[in-house]
Amino acid sequence: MVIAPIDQPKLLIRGEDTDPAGFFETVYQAFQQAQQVVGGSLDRFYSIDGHTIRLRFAGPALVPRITPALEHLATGPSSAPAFTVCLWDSASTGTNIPRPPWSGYVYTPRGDVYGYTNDRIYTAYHVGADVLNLLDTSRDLAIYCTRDARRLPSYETGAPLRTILHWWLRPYGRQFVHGGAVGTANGGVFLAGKGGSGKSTTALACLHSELVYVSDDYCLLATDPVPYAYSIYNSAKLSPDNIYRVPYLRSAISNADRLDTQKAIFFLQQHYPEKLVTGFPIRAILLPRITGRLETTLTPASPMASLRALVLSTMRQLPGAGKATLQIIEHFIEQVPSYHLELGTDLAQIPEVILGLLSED
Amino acid sequence: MTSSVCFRVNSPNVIQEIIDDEVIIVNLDSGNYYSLAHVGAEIWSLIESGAAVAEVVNGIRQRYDGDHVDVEDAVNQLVDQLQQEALIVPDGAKELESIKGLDRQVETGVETERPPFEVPILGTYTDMQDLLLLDPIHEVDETGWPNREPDNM
Repeated sequence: MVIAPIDQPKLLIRGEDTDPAGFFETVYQAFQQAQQVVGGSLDRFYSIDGHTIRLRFAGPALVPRITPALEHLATGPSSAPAFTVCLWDSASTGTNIPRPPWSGYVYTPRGDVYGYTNDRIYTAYHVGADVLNLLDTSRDLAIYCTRDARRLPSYETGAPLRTILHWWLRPYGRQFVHGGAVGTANGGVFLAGKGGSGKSTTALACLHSELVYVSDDYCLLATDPVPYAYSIYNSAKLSPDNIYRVPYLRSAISNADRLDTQKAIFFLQQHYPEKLVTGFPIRAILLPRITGRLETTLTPASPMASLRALVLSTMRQLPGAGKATLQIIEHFIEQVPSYHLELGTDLAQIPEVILGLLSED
Repeated sequence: MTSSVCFRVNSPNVIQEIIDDEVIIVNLDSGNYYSLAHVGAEIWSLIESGAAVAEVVNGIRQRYDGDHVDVEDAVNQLVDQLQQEALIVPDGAKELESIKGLDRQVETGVETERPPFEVPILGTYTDMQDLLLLDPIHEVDETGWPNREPDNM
């Protein structure tokens, strides 16, 4: 065991001599080595907001950990994808992630690695998930690697590649955000709030209604010309304590053997493909909050309440999220009204209330 | 505090926006999230516009009914707090320019019906603090990467 020095905390931060591009290249060479070890790569293609994205796996280990959440966006092979993400894990390929050129206090919980992001190269390491993310914007090329695919936590398999997609899609005017969305083909509501606020309960309660589903937890937002939510993941997650509220989903739990330590994960493409849509215009922002009362109601909320809910929960999760993210979210909030969704215990009322709101002029 | 001192928002580490008479501020370095409402938001706007501390005091006195000393003390206290939180930093470039206009600003005070002055409060939310602050990783394995059990959520 090597113990990194802690007596002199050190930030590898602005002004220090770092080489993000050199580190990217080193890690990319490791991916190529992993490919050679396993005898090639497995390619999967997905369409997000019109962009064809290629996931290039060195070996099969990560395929079942990454692709189920994206399966509803699967598309045919392309010889000229807009973006390629190279993925591998050390355990199945025998290829280690290159040693980091930094030491000491460089990580934030949201993944930033100070000193290793510049205008061209983005670097983030998610300590909890043990995932290194790199993007070279000049080549539309990203790298995603971890030490052991089998140990990826459920929140990572339920919403994989968050950081890389956030980075790559941002220049296209699309903002990765922490929030869900349900609605109709003509328009829907955006669900904002931190974990435990009731977003997933709301989204899943709508599966047995006229409403269609974009997300329970993360989606891609556009604000121009109209506010619009795009689906990224077909997954949903729910605290095991709340599964009794949606008994029709019990058989759809993908990680039933690990509910003692993980949230329940559902891949809706496998069970409710007809409810999934790629996106719709957003007509209102709802801020769910659990009341304990029977009825579900709506009360007007201030734009500031939405801003706090969205900014805090989005920025805390996305490396590099700063003023540009804040501005897109602010613009989004200016475009639509905000409401508190006072969640009652009778879940059947939730889609009724949302449909009622969407039916208003 | 010298009344001719000017400040600027400590960007890019600090991001801020004024919405509905309230300023929200995020210090991306410390991870803290702040809000200023009403008088506090106006003080922030004046500081952001490059006004010297004395100009801020005058500006607030023009808008609110309050004792000069009370307003001055409150402005100085808030400016100190904003500095301590690294949300603003002294801006020497603006100071000289501000000194020239100070007398004019002092004399342009107009007496109209004004709401009572209330001491501004810097609301501090630490929701983000634990999330943005550097994570103290002490142990690494033989590959150099943090040796931590994957967590779940």
